[in-house]
Amino acid sequence: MKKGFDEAEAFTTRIVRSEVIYRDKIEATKTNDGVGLSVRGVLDRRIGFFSVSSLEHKDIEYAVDQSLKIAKANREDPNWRSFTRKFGRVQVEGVVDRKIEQLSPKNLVDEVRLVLDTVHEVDESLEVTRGYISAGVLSNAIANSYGCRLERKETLAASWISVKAGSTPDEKEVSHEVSVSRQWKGLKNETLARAVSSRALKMVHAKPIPSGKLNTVWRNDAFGNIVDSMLTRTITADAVQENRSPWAGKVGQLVAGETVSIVDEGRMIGGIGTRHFDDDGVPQKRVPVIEKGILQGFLYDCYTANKENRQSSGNAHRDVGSFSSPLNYMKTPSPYPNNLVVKPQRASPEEIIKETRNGLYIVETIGEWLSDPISGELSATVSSGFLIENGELGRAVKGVIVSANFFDILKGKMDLRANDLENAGAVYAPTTQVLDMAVAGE
Amino acid sequence: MEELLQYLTDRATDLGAKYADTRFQEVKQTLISAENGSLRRYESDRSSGVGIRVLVDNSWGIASSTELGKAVLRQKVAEAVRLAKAARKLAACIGLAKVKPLEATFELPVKIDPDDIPPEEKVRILTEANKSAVTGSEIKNSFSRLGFLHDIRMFVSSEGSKIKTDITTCGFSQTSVATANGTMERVPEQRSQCAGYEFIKAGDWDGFAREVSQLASKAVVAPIPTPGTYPAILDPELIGLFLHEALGHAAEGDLVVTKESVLEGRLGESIASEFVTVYDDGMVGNGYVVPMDDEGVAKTKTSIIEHGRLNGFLLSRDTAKELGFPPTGNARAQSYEHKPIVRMTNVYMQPGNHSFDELLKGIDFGFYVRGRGTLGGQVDVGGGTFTFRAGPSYLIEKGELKHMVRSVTLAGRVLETLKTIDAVGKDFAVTTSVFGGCGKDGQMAKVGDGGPHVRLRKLTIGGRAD
Repeated sequence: MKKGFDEAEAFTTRIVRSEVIYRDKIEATKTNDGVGLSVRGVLDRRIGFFSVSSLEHKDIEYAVDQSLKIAKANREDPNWRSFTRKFGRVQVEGVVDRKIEQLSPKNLVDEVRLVLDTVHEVDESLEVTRGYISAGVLSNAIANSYGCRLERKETLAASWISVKAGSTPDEKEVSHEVSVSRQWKGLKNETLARAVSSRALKMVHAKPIPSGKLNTVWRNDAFGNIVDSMLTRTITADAVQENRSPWAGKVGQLVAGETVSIVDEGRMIGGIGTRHFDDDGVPQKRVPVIEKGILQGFLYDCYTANKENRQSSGNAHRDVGSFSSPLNYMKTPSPYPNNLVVKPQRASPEEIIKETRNGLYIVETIGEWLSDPISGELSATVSSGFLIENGELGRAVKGVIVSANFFDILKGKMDLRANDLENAGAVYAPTTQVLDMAVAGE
Repeated sequence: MEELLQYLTDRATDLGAKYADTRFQEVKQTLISAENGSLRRYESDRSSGVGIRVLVDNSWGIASSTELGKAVLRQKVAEAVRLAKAARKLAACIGLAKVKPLEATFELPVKIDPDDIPPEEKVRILTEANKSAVTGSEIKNSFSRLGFLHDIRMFVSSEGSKIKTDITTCGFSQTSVATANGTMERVPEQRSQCAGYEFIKAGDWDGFAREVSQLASKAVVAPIPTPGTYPAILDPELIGLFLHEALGHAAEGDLVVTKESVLEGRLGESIASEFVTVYDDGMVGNGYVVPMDDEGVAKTKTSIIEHGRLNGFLLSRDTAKELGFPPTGNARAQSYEHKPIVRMTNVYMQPGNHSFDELLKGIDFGFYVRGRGTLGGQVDVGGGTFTFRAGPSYLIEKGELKHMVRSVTLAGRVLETLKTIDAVGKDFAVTTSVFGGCGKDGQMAKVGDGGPHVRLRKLTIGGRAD
């Protein structure tokens, strides 16, 4: 592998995945096996990188040659130190499920039957318009020319359901629910099917509400999507070093309310981003980003850490922007959150709704990713929500735009949070009350 | 390879499939990025694989592998058949619309293969352009990319279709972040074309990158418009994005079949003003080139709206059968491993006969909404509501362009908005991107879109809500 390089690294991926795609009946049942390998080599601080979808000797040779060709053409990188001379691996729990490793086509078919039966049990008139259930095993290995070598394995399952209620063009609703888990049982397909069905029925008569200012309560995953859009790309060391983060120069400052802690929990049990080591071969760990309102620091991979003469925080990812993509070998590492956790509190979601008295409960938004994490300007279109009236959920709401500045939200407008952490992208968030949002409606 | 695909297809029918197709794909990609004057990443790859799709009774089974050995793939055929059988009781494919078997090869003419250009030259062009974008101290970040994609696909079906396509795409992208008075503004922009390296060679990328930075510098000090409903002119880039998101998705046959689409049941109805004619076309302007789809069907020029009336949907073979129309060649898969699903190719509006000045003259107070620097958009296909984030745009007063405005969000209901179009320009542009694509059901597809400049009587424009 070293062939002509000063130092080199190889990263391999193997994925075995099954999937069933359905609507009112099964549309297709699918399996795919894939392998890939990338070679990253360094010559006089010039980096070359090339990948192939094969582990055969001739293809590896080709990747090495191409990588060398690129290194020779590349500019010297003054910030390059070296590959890690010491890999590390920590014990983590709940990332491999034997059931997923042994999954049969019958398991997939049975699960679809369960979803369809549950939806029709809630109401015969409901139609499943699209759905998929997938599960797979991802194995990675990393090795470098300093004799370091590591392997890891993880399982991942996902379920997505969309259900339509109503039949006239003006009174029709398509609701969606998704769940992602390291465990086959963690998909909870029956609960998911029941939730999406009852919501679709309620949403049929949804209407906008008048414009104004409102207190809001965000369902855990909807708030997680907001945090994902507004924080995950700016709390990384590369964003800070390259002047595209609003958090640069603010470490040690109060940037949020004192109740707010946001920590990257790289070893969370069963976490979607939990791994024995990151994509540089560095053990994952707990990295405080905001603690009691004070900005603690940023997320590092080896390259950005070397630039500042510090240790990596174990946040190297090769799949940024395409979470758990089987193609993770095709990219060079960048820092990214593993499991970014917004600290929950003790109340139940129902208690928070009750305490809010009057406002808007937001279940699902679209377009939140069009918000600007650099200026903090947040806007999202509510595609599914309910009025909160006298502490109880009232009529269904959709088609209104909610907006606020996310930096203001952090500072004292999100101090009431529930105990129900849920995953959304790289984030885990609880149901959260957000005070004082502008609503553009009727 | 064609022989291997034929062998696998025959093997599938021997095992009981009433229809089978096999797809081979080889992709070569290179993505080079530079930031703040330094080369950041040079990532290059070559990947390939084979996917097998079989129909047993009414049940589809799909299996794929990156390993290309005959023995491995033979096993994959058996696996696809086994999967189809396992799901047989709960499966419900009503079959495929009939098509004539097609034997065709389409190779996009390329003057210079990007692979023949030494990495040194690509690095030089990119870093020089990246540096030239640092036009002043207010530019805090300059990020540039060069992208190359070479996508080769082969298709063999048990009905006798044999197809090969070979498409090369190149592009340059620039994102500049400017700051002023504590505000940061980010402007992303790109240019791509299905062509060889000659496209990169002919471009003035230093100038292009500089212009993006100048736009960011101007935008960061521009005011945010007061939210409200205004007359507006959309440029070709933005009308393309609008038609793609707001209309194109709703015209996808699979969403019509499930009655999710806002266009379901409206065929022949007037859904837009009489000036609106919209097509989906696999071969147009500087769009993405799609001569045939991934079911081996030739992509036709599909009319979606004809003078305001809903005229047709985009169809795969199964949705065509279900809706009772001929397929339109819109079944596309991200790669050999994905199931072909209904996708757009290049959706655009047909030009009219107005000059840009004539469009402007009709507006007393409104906005010229531009796509350059747009962040994209999203639409709720069922409800028919859309949201877009436009690039830096301009105020129009008494028929004249005035100052720039930033953070322009557009929102509205698709069908209402299409009816307010009162004039269509005579210019025309369709563009694509080597960097991005359209996401649906977990698959990405390369698409293009565009049209002329278009005037709307009423468009909801949101700036800052408070």
